[in-house]
Amino acid sequence: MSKKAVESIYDALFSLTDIRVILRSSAPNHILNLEEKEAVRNAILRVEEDIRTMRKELIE
Amino acid sequence: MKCGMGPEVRDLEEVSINLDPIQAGGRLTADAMKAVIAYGDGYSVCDHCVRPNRLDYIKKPGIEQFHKDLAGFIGMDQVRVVPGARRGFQAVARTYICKGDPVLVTSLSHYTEFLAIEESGGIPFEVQAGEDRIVSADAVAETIEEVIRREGRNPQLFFLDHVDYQFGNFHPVRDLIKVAHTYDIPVLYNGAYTVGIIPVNGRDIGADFVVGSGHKSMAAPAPSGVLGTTSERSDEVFRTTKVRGDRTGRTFGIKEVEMMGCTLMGVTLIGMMASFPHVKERVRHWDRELSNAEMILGSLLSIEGTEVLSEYPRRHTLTRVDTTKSFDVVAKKHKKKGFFFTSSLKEKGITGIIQGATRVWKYNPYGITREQAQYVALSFREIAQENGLNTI
Repeated sequence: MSKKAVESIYDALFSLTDIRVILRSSAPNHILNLEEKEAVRNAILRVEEDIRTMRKELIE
Repeated sequence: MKCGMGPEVRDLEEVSINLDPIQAGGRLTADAMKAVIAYGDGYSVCDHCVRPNRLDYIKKPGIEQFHKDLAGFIGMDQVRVVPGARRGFQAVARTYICKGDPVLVTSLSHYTEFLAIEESGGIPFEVQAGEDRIVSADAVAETIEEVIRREGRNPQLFFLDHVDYQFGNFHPVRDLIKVAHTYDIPVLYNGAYTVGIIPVNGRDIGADFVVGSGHKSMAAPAPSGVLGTTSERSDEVFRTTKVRGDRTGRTFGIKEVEMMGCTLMGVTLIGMMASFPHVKERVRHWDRELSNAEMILGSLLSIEGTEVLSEYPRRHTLTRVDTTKSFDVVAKKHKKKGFFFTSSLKEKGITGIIQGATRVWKYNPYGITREQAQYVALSFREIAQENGLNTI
């Protein structure tokens, strides 16, 4: 069992959800303010980290 | 894009501002979306269901506590989650209405209240709203007296919508409930457009039952809702099973008849629970929502010929307008006919208004940001100006 891979899946999906919500609140033009840009940047960083964990846990 | 091999992705909320009057308060919070991801499987909240094996007793996840918190939130003694407000109406109707019983509704009542009465064999009597499209205490008293004259007895129940779905008008529920109670008529407060949107306290209002809609006003997946009642009524509407199998002798514990045992057993409940802290917070910011709604309506009313059919000034975000003398004038000459208006809105990334509507239509800007409200307000005026209508 890879608990880390499972946690990474949920964490990544939740981070992507945070971005989804920003897409909603900035529709239809998706012009983000500084705070929203920072939130998206952080969410992407978390997703990238989660992908690295999944790669390590499940493939390598 | 498809959901795998399943249906198309619904990205309406991500690509546009959705003003659909019934969808606004049901949009999920981020936490509800996350909970839905984790609890998508069928009986996902039932992993730790132990005796007495009933949904509202489950401690992990904290469903038992949620029921207590929800009861406090709507000011009732007992609550159950139900698959939509209509199932709350149905449970109360089946408990109190017998064949031929007169039942009060209003001329602005939702159709599902009529269906709940019909299913129970009752006969609906409508209290007529006044010319101002508000139900008055006098009208309730007159209708009750009329029912007594015609039927020889009191109505058995009164379905009362605090905010009606047609105009989004507030009705004076405290006064109306007082009148009904002088005739010993129990009142079901329909909070489909209030519970989860504004603070509601059933005890203060004097309601015998409070029904709310999860998917309409509590940022929860459909079908979900809440039925709350007083300790005096809870043993009636939440009565437990007494039946026994004639061959097996089986009995069914403390399952509740009107709830058909357990109700919301997966994403509906967990979504409602995940949104709940945010819902409790958002009801405190109704003024912000009204301010956005006021700006959008102000923009519409600045278009010559446009009228508001809802009570004015607005006290709710759901609003009905008449653009027969503005956008419908354009529609008569436009190559797209009545579809020019919603088509123009769509081009600007605004949806949710009935396609082709240019005469009487409803919208609800609840939940959008200030920037989005400004964009919507500007867009209405731009469409008017682009089509030769005068703006003030």
